[in-house]
Amino acid sequence: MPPFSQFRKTFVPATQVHFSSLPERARSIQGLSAGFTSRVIAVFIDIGLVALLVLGAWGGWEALRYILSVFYTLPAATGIPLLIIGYFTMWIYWTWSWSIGGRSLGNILMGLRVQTKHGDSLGLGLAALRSFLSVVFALGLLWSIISRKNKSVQDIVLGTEVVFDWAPLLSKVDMTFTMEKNRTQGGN
Amino acid sequence: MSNEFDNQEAVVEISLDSAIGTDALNSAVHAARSVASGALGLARFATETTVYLVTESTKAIANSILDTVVPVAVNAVVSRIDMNEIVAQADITPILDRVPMTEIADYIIEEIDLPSLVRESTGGVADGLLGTLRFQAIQTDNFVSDIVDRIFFRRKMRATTPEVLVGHATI
Repeated sequence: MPPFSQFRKTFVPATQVHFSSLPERARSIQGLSAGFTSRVIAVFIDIGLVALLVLGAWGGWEALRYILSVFYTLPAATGIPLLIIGYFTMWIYWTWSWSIGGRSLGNILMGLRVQTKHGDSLGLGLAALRSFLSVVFALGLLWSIISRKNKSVQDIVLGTEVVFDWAPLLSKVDMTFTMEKNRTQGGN
Repeated sequence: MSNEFDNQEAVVEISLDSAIGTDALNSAVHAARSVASGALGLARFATETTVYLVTESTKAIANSILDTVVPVAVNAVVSRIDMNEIVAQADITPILDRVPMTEIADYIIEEIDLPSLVRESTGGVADGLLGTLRFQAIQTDNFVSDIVDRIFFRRKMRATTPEVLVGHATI
């Protein structure tokens, strides 16, 4: 550790100082539109999460029912209601996670972010709409294989996009910034 | 009767270049010169030594006097002054203007290696297994989009993030 006086002698002031919280290898892809594979994995992670939630809640509810009722009858034909609840939960979950920073659990794990084409976070309404379209027409994601800009049908309809964002934060905090320094050599 | 001296020749020889006389003169001059220069040197040495001794002893005396007097005087002054009050009255803005703030900031940033600290504290998740998974997905996408673009005879292919393929292929 050189003392300040020595540092000062050898120091060449940079005009730009670049700070980045991103790992080295993720910087080149930061902000580029994400392709189908990354996104479909993220979707499956989200589906897994919601399935776990719904089935867990249902199992808990049935267990509670079993404990409390004397004459317990096995639940009949729960598949369709559970699926509907699952779809509904999915819609709520995506709406919530995309509106608070554009990232669901799957997005976080895959390093993705849902945003408008201007790079802003989705508002609650837009997030709800996109979430709804994604739930009722999940196959729309397939279009991102063909689309030049990796856009799914939902993205095209609503003008949104999914980009790589490896910043390990849930909310949209721009941890990558470039600091411009205006140094005047020799005081005035 | 004739003077007997008349018939005799008197020869008086006077030699002007007497060897013995010149040598003696030379050596006498030389000796005198040596004595004079020796006396001069001695005088000079004596003077210099005296000056030196006087100067040094004066210095020593002055120093010892100052060593005794100054602390007492300074103590006397300082004990009558509230340094904090003086500092509080001082305008530190011009002093701060002279302090190279940005250089100090750079120094600190460099010394603690701030960027890597930020990276390490936040970016740990993106390394290792998860990072590998993400990059494999990206590479699959590049592969797929390349095939699709070829199928559709697209002249301009989609950006396949070449940096990723080149720079990060070996994860």
